[in-house]
Amino acid sequence: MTFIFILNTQAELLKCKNTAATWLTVTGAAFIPAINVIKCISKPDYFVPKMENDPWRVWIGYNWQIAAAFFLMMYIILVTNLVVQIEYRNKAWKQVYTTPRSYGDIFLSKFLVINLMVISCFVLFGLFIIAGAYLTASIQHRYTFLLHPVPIGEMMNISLKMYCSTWAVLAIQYWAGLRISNFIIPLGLGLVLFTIGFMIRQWEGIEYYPYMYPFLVYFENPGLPADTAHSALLNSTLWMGIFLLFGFLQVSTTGEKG
Amino acid sequence: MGHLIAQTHHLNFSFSSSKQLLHDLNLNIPQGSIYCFLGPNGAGKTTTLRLLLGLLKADQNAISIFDQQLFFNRMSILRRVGALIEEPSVYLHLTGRENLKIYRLCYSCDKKRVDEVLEIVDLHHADKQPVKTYSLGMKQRLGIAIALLHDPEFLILDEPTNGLDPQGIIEIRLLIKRLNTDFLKTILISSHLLSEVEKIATHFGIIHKGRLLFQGSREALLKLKSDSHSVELETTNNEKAAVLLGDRFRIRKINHAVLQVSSVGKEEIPTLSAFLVKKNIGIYRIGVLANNLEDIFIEMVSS
Repeated sequence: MTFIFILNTQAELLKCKNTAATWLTVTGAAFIPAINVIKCISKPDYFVPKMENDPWRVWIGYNWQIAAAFFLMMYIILVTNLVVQIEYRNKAWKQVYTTPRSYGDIFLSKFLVINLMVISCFVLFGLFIIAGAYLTASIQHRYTFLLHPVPIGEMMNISLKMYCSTWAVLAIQYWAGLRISNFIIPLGLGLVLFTIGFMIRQWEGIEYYPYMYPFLVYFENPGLPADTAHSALLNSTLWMGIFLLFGFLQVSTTGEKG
Repeated sequence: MGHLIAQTHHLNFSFSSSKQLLHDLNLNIPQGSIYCFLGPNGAGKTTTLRLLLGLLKADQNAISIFDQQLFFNRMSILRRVGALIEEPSVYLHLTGRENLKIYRLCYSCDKKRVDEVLEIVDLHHADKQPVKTYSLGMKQRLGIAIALLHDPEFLILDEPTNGLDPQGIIEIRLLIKRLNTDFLKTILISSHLLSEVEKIATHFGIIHKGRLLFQGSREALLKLKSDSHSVELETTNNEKAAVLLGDRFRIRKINHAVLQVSSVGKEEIPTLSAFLVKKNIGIYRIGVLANNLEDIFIEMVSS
């Protein structure tokens, strides 16, 4: 059973080859570090003094701040829809459902592939952050990245927390993508909910609002309870469980498949 | 009739309570046959095939394949069934070989099957080409290759020649014939054009507005053909002749020049002409129209 699930997940991964979802994962991970490299090389007088004592912490912060505030959520919404759309665009759902696979297998293997994409994006983002720092230092020697060790542990800790904070939205967008064959509607829904999140981010109940979890987990949240970030991570897991259940029921009980 | 590979038992289906799409359908598909499921567009062919594959939900006991009820044995049945429903479900951004690899993994079958099916459908030369560059005929053949990958006993092909040029239709027709004779596959193929499949089908099921109008072997359908004729007449008064004959026969076509009467038994032709003469209608010309399977099909669905 497990072996068949692994084979099916491999098949789902192969479907993503040369797709917009894969390109988005690679280019999305490179985008922020690339902008920061340009920024720091072009304005050394401004940035070198800021990075004098602890260059890696500042550099990682520059990269993660933009990701946590905006790009990560955009990426999650887009990549989830793009992966689900591979079946709709190629009218392939009906073929998927005529293979001898259980509904649970079909549902979970695709979700696992989306998660693998997101994890790949996090790993690549980390690698591009490191590579970007070394590139900056090799071009502009006043930066002292080479004199300090890379804080791998801290980077992994941030990445892990941020990944967990996206679980809720991954599951919600996956459920919406399976339910609605149109590409634009789940995408628009995600973007609207994300925008609303920004408008209500000072709300005391914001810890129940999944689209703000990366923001709450990464940034300090003045005016909100001290354990907001912790609650956000916990709620992210709960929301994921709820929407995975909705999604599975959607796949297994709908009368018309494909 | 030999052993049945698939059966439906009083199969009814509707998407909404207001419009029933299938009415009491009892399909019997013999093992080893090329069963042609015929009907005009919207007759319920694709709906029936989707029900047979579990893409639509039917009543628990309505469908059995390989003597197992589909409702309870979906996965074990699908392991032995290959399908091509409507247009081929292929990933356009991948190559033909990569598409086959995806389904090879899903069916957990041997790597060598990819080359074997590429050989069967004659796509070996284009296996590394992205599918988006394939012609429609090549995509259809790739779809059939996917359906064949796990060496199923039963193939369900929904209008596999749809949209193809005459050359493509001939290629697919030959391939289907070969799959039946050389690889011993039972094939259920749907079409809205009898001319496309009459050369290869061993059995026919004719459906119209969700009801099965005919089901039987090729011989049984040909017997209908020999039993029933269409007669063309040219008389002194075609309108009056049509009224007189309309009680007993089906009037197929009438204008000032000709009157066509269908469903006429061979022995009834002399009676028909004598009857018109007795009613003072002169006959200039009377002839039996060449009656092919297409006529029978059209007659069935239009009556």
